[in-house]
Amino acid sequence: MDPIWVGVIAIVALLVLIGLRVPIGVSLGSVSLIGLMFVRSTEAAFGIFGDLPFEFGANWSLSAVPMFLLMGSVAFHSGLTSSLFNAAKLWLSGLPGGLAVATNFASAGFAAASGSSLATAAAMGRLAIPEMLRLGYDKALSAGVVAASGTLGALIPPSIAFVLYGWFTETSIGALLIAGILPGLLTAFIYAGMIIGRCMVWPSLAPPVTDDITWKQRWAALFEIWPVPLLIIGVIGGIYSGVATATEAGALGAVLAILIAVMQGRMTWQVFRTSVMEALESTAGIFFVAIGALLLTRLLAFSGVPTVMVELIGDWAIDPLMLIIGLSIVYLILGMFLDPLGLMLLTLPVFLPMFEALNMDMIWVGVIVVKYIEIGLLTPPVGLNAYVVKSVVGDAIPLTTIFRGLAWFIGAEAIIMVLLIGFPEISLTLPNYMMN
Amino acid sequence: MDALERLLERYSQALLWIAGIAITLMMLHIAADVVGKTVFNEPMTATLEIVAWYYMVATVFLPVAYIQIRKKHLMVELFTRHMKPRSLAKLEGFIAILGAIYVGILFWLTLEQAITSTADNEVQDVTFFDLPVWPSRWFLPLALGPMTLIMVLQAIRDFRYGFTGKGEPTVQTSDGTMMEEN
Repeated sequence: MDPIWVGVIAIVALLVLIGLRVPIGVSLGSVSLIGLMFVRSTEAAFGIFGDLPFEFGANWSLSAVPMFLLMGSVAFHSGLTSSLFNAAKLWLSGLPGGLAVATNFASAGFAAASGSSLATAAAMGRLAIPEMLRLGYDKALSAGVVAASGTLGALIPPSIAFVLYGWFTETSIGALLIAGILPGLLTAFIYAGMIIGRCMVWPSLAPPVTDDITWKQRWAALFEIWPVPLLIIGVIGGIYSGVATATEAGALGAVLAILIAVMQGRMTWQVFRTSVMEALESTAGIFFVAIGALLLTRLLAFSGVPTVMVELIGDWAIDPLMLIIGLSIVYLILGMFLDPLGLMLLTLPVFLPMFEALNMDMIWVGVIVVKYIEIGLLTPPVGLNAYVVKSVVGDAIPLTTIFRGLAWFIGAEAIIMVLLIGFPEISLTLPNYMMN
Repeated sequence: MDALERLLERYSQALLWIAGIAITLMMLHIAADVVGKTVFNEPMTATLEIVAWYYMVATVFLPVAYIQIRKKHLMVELFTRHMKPRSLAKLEGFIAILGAIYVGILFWLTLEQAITSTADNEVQDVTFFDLPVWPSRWFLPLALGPMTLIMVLQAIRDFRYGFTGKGEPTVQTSDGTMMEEN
């Protein structure tokens, strides 16, 4: 059999297995192993298979993954982030749709400390949705803002998605993390603008808040959240200034989060244990999938799929913009039923050679890829963030209402994507400054 | 079978604890190195090598068996969510067999590597001394072997429920938990 067909059949078989609820790591790995046996030989396949997991695991750069996850779970379980919503509420509730705007920005801050989209949506859902419903906010808006703003986690550093992307594409992880800052803020502000605009046109969506808020309360709330900026500045500042690499910044961030929790009297043995266990489960789960993805990369390389893809680009005279549009379609479709990191690890082996052939800026491509895998969290039928919100609100809001609320945010995402694709500077300005 | 399941659960938890110690040491070691470098101009020797070859290998591989017991490996539930419990159990049984073959081969190959590495007394050259790396080669088979066994036991449990309706399946339908994320 022509090796190229082995590659193509492998990709089809892979999608079928994943659809049949075979764990993604097992699907990727077993398909690649069988493929390698065909393309090379059983001996060669076993040779690659026996070496690769250890070589991949014994990895200095990727130690940023467990470190960022640990920092995030400590910040979350020690309650470091729960006062954010209170502060945002006191400062922003005067705006039209003020509570929704407050939820949006509190999520941005929470995401910066925790790095996890699902954790952000779960925590904000518990805090913000009951409050919004109590004040008569529209159900679709309340649930939508929580699910959508949760996705800021993957753009604003620390971001596991950027660490993995950087490793796979051999791009500077530090530069990628810094590149995510402006697109993340842009997303938060466009969301906020959309909420305020809607609530001005349809005031019934969000009845005004009538509670009297004193300036004293506002400043007190702000004082309570001081550790969050400290943590963010510690991590981002460390990378930006070059004092620490992305890997080192992860470990420093984790230590800092623990120290802050200890100083605030929130660190107990239980909190520490839960945080460590959670970080371990996520880390090992991610690496198990990543090893499968690496095997697939090897198989595709041997079967010549990347060469054919690159030739296709030449034959069809595809320019970078066309590739980005094609990429958008693939991510939007696959994003409907795959989880973000699985989606990224699955698609990079196929897309990477094409990006490289077109000499595209890998940092800019990284921002766009991460953005797309996060949009996948919002689209039906498997918008994971919508399900997280659903699991938090129970019977109070039906799933269809959540997705209806999300439609507005997906619309906002379309504008954001056009801006990010049209103006690469949004992504590249900060990392360029950093590297000079 | 119950006794074996309990034994494997305890063993997997023990591995998880060791991984927990490794991730904590990794954090402290890297942080101490950065502080040493920047403040005292005195980096710690071989931080990079010890982190990569010991802490990372332990952190990444030791928890896999425990994750399998809890069935928390990333997967897509969408297309099979509405299956009847017994059909689902049969499917889960086949998936566990496929997984056991995959992980079993991985176990065998990494075991061979560990034995060779130990016999050769494999070391990593660090500037001032030779860091032995053969012990961390054993982390893989030590976690992957039990993981294979766990998958076989899960397959037996699921097939039994799927074909006879007796016992309990390893997953309930629409349990809500879908997958982990960053």
